[in-house]
Amino acid sequence: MSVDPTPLQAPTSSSGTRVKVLLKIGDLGLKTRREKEVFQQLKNKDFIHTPTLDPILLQETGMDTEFDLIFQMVGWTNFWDITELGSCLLTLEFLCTLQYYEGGIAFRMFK
Amino acid sequence: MLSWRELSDHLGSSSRCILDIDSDLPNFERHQFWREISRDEFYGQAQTSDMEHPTLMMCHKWLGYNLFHRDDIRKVRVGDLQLLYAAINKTPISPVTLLVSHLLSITSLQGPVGCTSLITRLASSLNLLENLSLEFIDELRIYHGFDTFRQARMLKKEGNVMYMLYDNKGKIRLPNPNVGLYVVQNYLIEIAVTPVNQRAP
Repeated sequence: MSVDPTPLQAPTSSSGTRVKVLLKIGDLGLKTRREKEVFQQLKNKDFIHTPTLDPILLQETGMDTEFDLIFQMVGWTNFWDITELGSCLLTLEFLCTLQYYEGGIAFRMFK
Repeated sequence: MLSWRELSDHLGSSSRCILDIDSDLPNFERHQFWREISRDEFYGQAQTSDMEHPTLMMCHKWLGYNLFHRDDIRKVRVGDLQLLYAAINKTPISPVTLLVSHLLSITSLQGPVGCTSLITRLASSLNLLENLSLEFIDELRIYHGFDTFRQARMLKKEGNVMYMLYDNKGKIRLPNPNVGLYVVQNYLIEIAVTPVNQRAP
């Protein structure tokens, strides 16, 4: 995790658009008491990229074919291959601000 | 605020997926379903190894690593059962309500936080990563391969041949098209009558 000092002013991209920065704990936009409490509970945890099953194992066991078929059936064709890089700070900000509502969720990122 | 449907769409589930799992799987009953896929009479201290169908076992491991990451993924939770039930019944189903319940419980869980890639996917789909200076985790992604399952005594190799192990009951060879999830009529494996020599063509 980066501990670079806070820039006095948010940098701008070459196009002049303001660049959002999330490089250190101080960049997290935590506001409420609850958000700060959740942060205290999470701050010492390790954060890892979402792990998965080895594609070689899937192939060797025939599960590559099985999974393709199953995930097609349950509507996860574009969901199940989770290969994005993970970010500790991005995840922290999301989890600290996540709220459950009857019809969905609310959360903040970079605000 | 994101509705369940919006969240589901942003994470990549099909728009035809059901969202309200409890209401939209009206025929699901945990004890009855557990009896179909294990030799237990009731759903109680259910574990992955109590299942017998190799695809269901591997699917449950996938759910534990990818969606509901926690320190001990052997326990079969009701949400896991609902997703496996939907898989067997070919029901398009979104996991988002279960996923959010899991995310809200992370503060009380042991072990590392493993949902990070899903959060990146959500932020990316919402175009929140544009013009953002952000660092990603340095360590490499963990891929659970043969060694993980060998240590768990679920799989073994004899030469280049892979077997799924069933405690003292025996083993079946994988890949095994005779026990495909949508091939079998029964999710309990009769090892004595299941050919061990079948391989995918």
